[in-house]
Amino acid sequence: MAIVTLDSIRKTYPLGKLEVEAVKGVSFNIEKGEFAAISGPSGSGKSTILNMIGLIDLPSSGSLVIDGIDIYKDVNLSSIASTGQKSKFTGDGDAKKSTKKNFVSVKLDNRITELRRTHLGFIFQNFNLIPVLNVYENIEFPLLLGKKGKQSDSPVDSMTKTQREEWINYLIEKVGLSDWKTHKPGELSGGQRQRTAIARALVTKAPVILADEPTANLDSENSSQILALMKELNKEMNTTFIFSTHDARIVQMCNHVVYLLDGKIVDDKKQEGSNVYGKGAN
Amino acid sequence: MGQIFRIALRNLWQHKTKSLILGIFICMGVAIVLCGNGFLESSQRGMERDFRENYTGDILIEGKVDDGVQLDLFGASSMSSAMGESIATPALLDVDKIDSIIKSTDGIKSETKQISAMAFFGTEKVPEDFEPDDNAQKDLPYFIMFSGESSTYFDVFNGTKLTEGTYPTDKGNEVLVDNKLKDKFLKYYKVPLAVGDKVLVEGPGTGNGFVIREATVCGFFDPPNVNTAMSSLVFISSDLARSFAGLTYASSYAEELPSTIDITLSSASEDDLFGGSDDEMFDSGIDDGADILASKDVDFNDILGDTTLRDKLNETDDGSWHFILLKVKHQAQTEKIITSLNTQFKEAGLEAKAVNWKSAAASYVKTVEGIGGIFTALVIILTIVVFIIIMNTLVVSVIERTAEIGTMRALGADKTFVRKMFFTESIAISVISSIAGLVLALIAMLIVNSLHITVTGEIAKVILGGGSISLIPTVGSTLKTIFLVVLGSALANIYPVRAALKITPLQALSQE
Repeated sequence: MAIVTLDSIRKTYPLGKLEVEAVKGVSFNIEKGEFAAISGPSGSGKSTILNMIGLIDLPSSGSLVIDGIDIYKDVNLSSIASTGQKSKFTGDGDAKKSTKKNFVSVKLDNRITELRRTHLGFIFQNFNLIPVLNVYENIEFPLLLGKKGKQSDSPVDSMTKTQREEWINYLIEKVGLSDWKTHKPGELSGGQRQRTAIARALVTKAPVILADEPTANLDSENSSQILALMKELNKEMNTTFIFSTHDARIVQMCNHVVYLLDGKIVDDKKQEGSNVYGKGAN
Repeated sequence: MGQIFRIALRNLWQHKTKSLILGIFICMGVAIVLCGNGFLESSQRGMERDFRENYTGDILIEGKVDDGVQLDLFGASSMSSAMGESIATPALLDVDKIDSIIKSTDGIKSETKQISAMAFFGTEKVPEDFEPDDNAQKDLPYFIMFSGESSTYFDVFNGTKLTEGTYPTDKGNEVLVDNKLKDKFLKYYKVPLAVGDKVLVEGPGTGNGFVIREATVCGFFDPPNVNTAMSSLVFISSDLARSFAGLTYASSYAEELPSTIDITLSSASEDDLFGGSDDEMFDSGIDDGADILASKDVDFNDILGDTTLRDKLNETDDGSWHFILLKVKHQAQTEKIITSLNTQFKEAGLEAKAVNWKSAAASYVKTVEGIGGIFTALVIILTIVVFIIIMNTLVVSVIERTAEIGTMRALGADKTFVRKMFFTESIAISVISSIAGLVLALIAMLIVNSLHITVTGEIAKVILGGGSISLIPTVGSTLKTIFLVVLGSALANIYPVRAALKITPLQALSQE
């Protein structure tokens, strides 16, 4: 069963008087429970695709379905793109500026914000923890964004306070930060910060976790540990992980790799139950 | 909300230096405004209490004046009148009818009548060629002349402390002198003033003339409040006061001249009276004055004819007054009683108007309010500066926290959450800083009040509404100040929050 479906997704950016097509009609599926990578060289469009799957960037056209929800079903993407917002996008850490302005309606913004909270988890290459909150509070943060009394798709919204506490403590233990839960991000190492980010991404029990170059700022030892942890959680919780990476170690661990070049898919390899590049790579 | 509050407070703590600078600005601003308000309000309250108890009463009833003329207990003035030109204070007409309306109105405790004028003391004790010292000019014994109805005035305003002598009587040509004025008299003329001394009361009349009357000093007094803003005062016999105030029969009956008076000259022009050529004028048969003086036919004792009427018209009208002053039983009822009185005056066709103490002491109140206005202008400038600083600091804060805001948005925080977070931060810092400012102001007020600072300069007393410097704000103005600071902080958030809301989750990925 596909948890994420991209159909003819395009993304264009105006660059001065020119239009640059960063993603050129990409279509692929990610099945539930996959450990998938979108890979390719710098500027191939992998981060742009991940941002679009993460609902933090809008496609110029095409269809995106996440967990059965057609995100832009009633939205005229071309009209948004043509009036579009002054936005940034990351491509292998490089921020490129667009001069085009995008006006996303409040209604659409609220809908995709809620979908991000309930259906998606994020792991950023810069960790992006909230500096004033400690480990426990950072992990708890997405849970507190749920509105009381509002109907929700997230299973955690119906949890009692005690159940939430137990769930957060379980995740903290799972990522090996039991002794660090009252520490603030500034007091943690890079690996510990990324472990916190992983726990935060998992806390809403979102079906899809998106990770943009999660090991880019970690040393090799920490990178291996983090990847092993994510793989373990993927197996244990059947949570779908989608990476945007050109890190060969991640690609070798994945059972689905979409390879991009100049905004187009050049390879889409799947290997059910094992890694695309063989078990030995794990 | 707890999460937002926690993040907001921790962010303030995280950015301690910025919060501290911001807090100090707000704290100092609040302290200055509260101290200033405390000073102005206590001055105004002190002035109100002093004037209502001792000079204006709760209600003043005055005569009708032309549009543009300001009338208060100290006389009439107009912005449009030429410098130095005096405007006559109108006599209160139909005093008996006004009296009967007052007596039939509920809530009035006591009543008296008064005449006011301005004058200064001269003396014949000094040689004719007396010249005051150059530095004594400020001590010219200039005063405000109050003449109250002798049977009631000192019962209604019973705070005056007689230190020597007696109160003036209606007919006695007597003056009861403020001890401050006694000192001034000595400094200016270098001769002491004592009970029983004759002085010359000199002042502008109601026309262009100058009135000089001799009076006897009947006593000396201290004002009820030694720190009063009121200038030097002299209580004077009412007959004497009427000479200065123009309250004569002539003025009272000016509109109904007896038919016996030949008024044909009043319609003649200057040419009618003095026209013709110079030759005609000087060759008209009158050789020179010596011929007239030599003439035995001229009766110099009767040159003006019958002057009985003129003398009668020049007599003071002992039933005329400038003002009626009232004290009410309950001060909270004052405005209601004023409205009732004015309605009754209008219905009875009387040219009288009841006003409150502020209008009665407008000359003094306006000075204090002017100072209040300057202070308000300074507060507005201060507020704008603080507002800009807060806004600027918050904009910098938003820029610094782009990644954090973007991350929150990526994790599912809607715009309302971000908006609430920033508003909570600025409300928290403004409330905490305002409370600190309040504490600081209270400490400053305690210190200032414990020092019992008084000013002695007459001008300073008028400007400050009294000589005692005390800082006592009302609870209402304190809460209002804090509310305005918090509101200002919230408003200062609008632009930075708009900037924060423009941050997309995408920007979070390109930061840090």
